[in-house]
Amino acid sequence: MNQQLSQIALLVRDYDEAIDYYTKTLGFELLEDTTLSETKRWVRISPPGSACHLLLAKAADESQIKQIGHQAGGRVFLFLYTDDFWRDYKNYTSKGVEFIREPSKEDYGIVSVFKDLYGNLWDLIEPVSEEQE
Amino acid sequence: MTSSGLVASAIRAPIIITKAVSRFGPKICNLQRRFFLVLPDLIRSYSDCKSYKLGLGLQILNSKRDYKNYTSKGVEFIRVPATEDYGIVSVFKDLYGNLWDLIEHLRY
Repeated sequence: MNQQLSQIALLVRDYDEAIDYYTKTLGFELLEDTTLSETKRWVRISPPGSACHLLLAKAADESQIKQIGHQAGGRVFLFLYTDDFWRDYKNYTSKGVEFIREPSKEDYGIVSVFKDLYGNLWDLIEPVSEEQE
Repeated sequence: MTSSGLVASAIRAPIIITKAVSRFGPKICNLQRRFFLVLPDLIRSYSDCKSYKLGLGLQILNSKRDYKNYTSKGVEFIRVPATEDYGIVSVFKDLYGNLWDLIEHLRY
């Protein structure tokens, strides 16, 4: 049995606003931006090297707009693993990203929590490498 | 370990994805070697898209096996399997109502 979690839909207010933020501020890659209709585009982004991608899904009605930034009901929604926590932490803070939890060292690695432009909470984690475990 | 990654916390197994194929066009992204990245079916028909928005895409290699298995366990499919040019796709609900695309992608 072989299954893969391929991508997750991330509700956004505006495609270009979201692309700008996730690529320029968080440093993600734009994998695809295909126009489907006058109002819809198929936009995929990804952290560099990540096998699981994000589909930017533009909220299409009032109920969806209300869910933007709240897809995890106020909990941490996405977990961004990195090979260099401090590089990314410094980079993100220099770009104005708000961290709501200061970096801390845990058994599993270094972790902190930041908010993206819509208020989604992300863990930024440099996991303990296997050699150190 | 990739240089950075968006990883579901429970899924630590290495994931190898090779080609991403847009169902909306011939665009093919070569990522690595073996599998295909499959796109959730956000908009199959424009009438569909008003009624739901998909949250997750599940890429699998044998949809008939999984479809049978899931239906036998009472999983509700809100769209029956359909063959598209990119593969076989259906949509199911999990216990909380999250919508999943179940996709077996065409292999090249």
